[in-house]
Amino acid sequence: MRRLDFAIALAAALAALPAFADPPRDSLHPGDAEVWQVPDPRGMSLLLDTRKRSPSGILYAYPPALYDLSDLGGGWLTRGALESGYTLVGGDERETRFTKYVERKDGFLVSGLDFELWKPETGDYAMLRAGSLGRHDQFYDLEASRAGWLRFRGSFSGVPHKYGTDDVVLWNGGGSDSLTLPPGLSPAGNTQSALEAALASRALGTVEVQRDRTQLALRLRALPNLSLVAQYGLDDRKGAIPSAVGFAYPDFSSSIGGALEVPAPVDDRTHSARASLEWSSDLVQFNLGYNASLYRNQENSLTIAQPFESFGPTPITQARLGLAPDNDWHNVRADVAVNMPMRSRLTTGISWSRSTQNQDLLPPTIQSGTIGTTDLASWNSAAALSSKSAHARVDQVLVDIGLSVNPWRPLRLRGGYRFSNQDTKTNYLAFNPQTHQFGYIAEDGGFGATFGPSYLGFYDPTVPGSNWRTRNAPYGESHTTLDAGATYTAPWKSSLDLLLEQEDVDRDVSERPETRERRVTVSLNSRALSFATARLSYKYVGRDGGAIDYGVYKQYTSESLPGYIPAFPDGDGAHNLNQLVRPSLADLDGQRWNARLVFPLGERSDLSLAASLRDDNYGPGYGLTSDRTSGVEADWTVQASPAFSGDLFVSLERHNRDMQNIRGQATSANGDAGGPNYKFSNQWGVRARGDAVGWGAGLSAQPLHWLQLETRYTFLVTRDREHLSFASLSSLANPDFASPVPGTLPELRSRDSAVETSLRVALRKSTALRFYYRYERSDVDDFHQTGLPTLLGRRIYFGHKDLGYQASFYGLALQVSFGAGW
Amino acid sequence: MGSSQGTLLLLFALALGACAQPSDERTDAPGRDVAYVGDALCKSCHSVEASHWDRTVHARAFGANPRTELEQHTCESCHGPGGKHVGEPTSATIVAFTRDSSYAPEVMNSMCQQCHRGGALMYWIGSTHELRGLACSDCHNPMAQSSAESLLRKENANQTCFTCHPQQRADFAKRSHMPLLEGKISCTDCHNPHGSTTNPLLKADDVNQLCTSCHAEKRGPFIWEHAPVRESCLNCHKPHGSNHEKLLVTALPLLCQECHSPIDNPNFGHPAGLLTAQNMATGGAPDDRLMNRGCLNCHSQIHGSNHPSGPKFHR
Repeated sequence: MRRLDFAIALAAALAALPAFADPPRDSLHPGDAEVWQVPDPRGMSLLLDTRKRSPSGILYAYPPALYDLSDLGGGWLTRGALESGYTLVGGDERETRFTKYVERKDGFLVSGLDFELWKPETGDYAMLRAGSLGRHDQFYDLEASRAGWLRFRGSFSGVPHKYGTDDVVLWNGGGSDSLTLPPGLSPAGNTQSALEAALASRALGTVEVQRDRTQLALRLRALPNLSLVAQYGLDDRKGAIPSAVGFAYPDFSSSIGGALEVPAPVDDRTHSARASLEWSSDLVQFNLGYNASLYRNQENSLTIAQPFESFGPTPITQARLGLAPDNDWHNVRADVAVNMPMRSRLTTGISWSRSTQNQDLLPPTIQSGTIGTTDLASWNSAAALSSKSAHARVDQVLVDIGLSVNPWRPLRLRGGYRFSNQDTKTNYLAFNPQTHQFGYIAEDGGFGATFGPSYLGFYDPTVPGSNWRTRNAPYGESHTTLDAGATYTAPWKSSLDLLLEQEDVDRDVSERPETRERRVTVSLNSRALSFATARLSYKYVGRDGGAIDYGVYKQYTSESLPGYIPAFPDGDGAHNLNQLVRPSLADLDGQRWNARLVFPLGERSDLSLAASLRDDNYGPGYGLTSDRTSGVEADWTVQASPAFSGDLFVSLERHNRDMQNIRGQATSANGDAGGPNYKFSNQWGVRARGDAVGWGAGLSAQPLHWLQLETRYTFLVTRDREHLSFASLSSLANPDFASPVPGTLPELRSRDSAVETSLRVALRKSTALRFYYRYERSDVDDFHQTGLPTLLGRRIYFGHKDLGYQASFYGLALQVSFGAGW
Repeated sequence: MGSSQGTLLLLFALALGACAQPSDERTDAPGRDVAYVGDALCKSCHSVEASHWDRTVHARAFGANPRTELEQHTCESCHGPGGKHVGEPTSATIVAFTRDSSYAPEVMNSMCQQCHRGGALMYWIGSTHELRGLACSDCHNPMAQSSAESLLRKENANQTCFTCHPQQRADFAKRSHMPLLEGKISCTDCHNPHGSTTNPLLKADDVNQLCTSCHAEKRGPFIWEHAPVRESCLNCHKPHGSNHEKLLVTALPLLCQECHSPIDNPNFGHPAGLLTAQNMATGGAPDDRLMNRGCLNCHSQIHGSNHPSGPKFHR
């Protein structure tokens, strides 16, 4: 990292955002990460006959048995435990999904480490937890504190992410910024059969990214009412991710590549720094914070050798992708809350952010040669740019004011005002000062090589409809929200709440600049029933707005340039179907229901039920038209004794998503549905119907004092089916292949089940054996992957498929404790 | 609001009223006119409770480094003075934090808020959880160290949240998901359950600020931006898990076709015709939009492009 950035990151580490979140773990220790815990057989109390429940009725778990602590001398107490052993994998362990976010392999493993030091006299303590040491999903979590005064937290977490373990990558250089063809192949000079042979000779490879996350945090209670917090984080990523590059439409290209799937290098670091001070007193609470996030990418571009034959005077031999540029984000935030008479409270939050990015820009193309009369030498250097760097910037501001008044104890009134604004200051002009042309070079010349020189990507005033982007669109928007609410607390442990909200959105550049959304929420919460706690809510959302006009985008294209000749007598081609707008801009009529019920069942059990329904209907008739999701979940937990507990859950979800569109034709400037471009006979629709059904059960048992068992089973099946409808064959992307046309696409389906078991056998007070076993079975059917080859016409893919698998993970470990026993 | 839904809600409210008994919950915080008795006396009866509590950060702080007079009272700093409770040891004479407490949740919460106010709790009043009548002790159990952090009722924040949010537990088990069940991310990495300035209780000013805190490569700003990306990541992605790849809200290319319908002209794009099984890799007319990465087989820089030739996110 550059020194200045390092200095900025350190200097910024003076204030912090919200306090310590849950520390990282791994799949072997998703919970507390103690090497082993057992419930305290005494429970929480010897005085009470009945088990305690939370105010909402949920049974508290038996607390963990206390560790014995050994005296180190000097007032220090200590304990610790280590778990290490050997792990084995079996079955289809190479399948991507089995190790997507975890590392499972044969070998020795230090699977758990925890250590504690404590000095009661001073309140000083230190705790270390770690797991999967040395593996890609390892974690370390250190806390050191003087209780009540100073607290330090440091953690490290490895997060692997596999995208495919069965990938066939044609190019050499995966993970670097240059992909070259293997020996025997030459750029732009290979027949289909030569490429087939080359792909057949490539070994299966893995495309993956490793993210290593380090976080340091310090909290100092400088005064009884004043805390200072500082935090620094580093996310370090290395590897490659699947990406793609295109040169032309594969179906229309008789040469060069259409779409090529390539591994894009990942070698970046994100430095985050936070600093804040927090003041709290009876009357006033105040937060002031600074946050920063600095993204640094060691790879700024990816050059790819084009493998297909490319004919014509200038073969298209390569492409260059622009990778994520370095960017900076800075934020300053202040929050104030004042407690006032009548149990009232005023809160104000102000936040300002700036995102900047000023990366040196790549030339419009990497290609050389001449296409038509265009010499690409005038486009393949920085001299072809109107600006050598991006000068990109977005400013954001947020103001949030809330007032809560309690004039009469059962009645609370509140009101709020929220204003947020996002302002894009980027102003990029696609203009070549050497040639005095507006535009760029599309697909590194591939587009022009396919459709002719007038389609190279820059404006030609002699060609009707020579419509190319010339400027960036500075998207920005402001949201103004007013809300008013009232809560009435009834004398029978129940409350009724009403909230009214209105949100106005104004967009700087949009086909629909203004929308207004109104929301009404009613909720009922009750602990009145001795046998249940109920929480119900209903929310209505209504949105409308101004007219939809896609003409707003003309100013960012060559259509706005002097002398432009439209493609058609009545104007230039329609930008989009006028009656189609993205869901966040569309008229909305939506309802959302939520219900949660908790039933305390006797002394040892509870049952939770949850149900939800979201029913959104969109106008004006095209694009997403409706989105409906409903779900029901049930959880039953039983804590028969500290030695036996179990749970059972079921979840059901159903979702429907409907859309409509029209296959457009280029005959005029008319963008209306039913017009010459968007004929009703070309209309089509998709009704997506899906569901997800899951269930699971868990058991924790200690039948003998030296024997503990924990086992869990989970199952989930999901299905999605797209039901197709169309007005005529002209609605289809490929009318020539109309027969037969199934009414649905093949079902998207996944089925996952897993059994996970830990059996612990105590050999002595401080020694135990742990046997761990996990079995997974999974099947996926995805029509995107069905029959996917590595070479198909002018396309090259990795050929990755999510295959069905059955795999097991075994572990046998020795647990040794020191300074403590169970 | 629809009339049928409103009627249902009203009927339920009336039914509740018919079933419920008037509450004798106390809504005023306990006064300080009762004498403090000292934690030694508390622990003489509540020995098991004390043994667990002694290992918690509260006990370590109050025992060794009390910074205020309140903290010096240890047990009684949270439960209120114990003078009456000594003579009449029931939940009516002390502030309990459980379902059988004689105090309303707002009073229970006020005991915690004697110290825990401001900071991450700045926006607790009026937050969704507070308006739903949750007590601090619905999620926290300060009497025992069941979790590594935050004295939670269960072993970690995720398990605590799943108690009331089981739908999210199902989402995290779907085909593409955030690595929460693998232990690599927590609910509290994105949400502040104590309240924030956003409806979903996010730990940022908006969705994009939150997502790009980890996915900073997507933050931009780019010279060529994609409007729905600049607006909100949730236009295309689900935050927890999805049946589709990359946490997308629906299958490709339908997701893109919900917004785009260009006409058939090389300058303007390729038309949004209906793709069928014929367009799969095994069909008569394979089409990239239905295979592999869908539209992203060409439009790979879909989150924004910083390449001068990238206005359509090809570069």
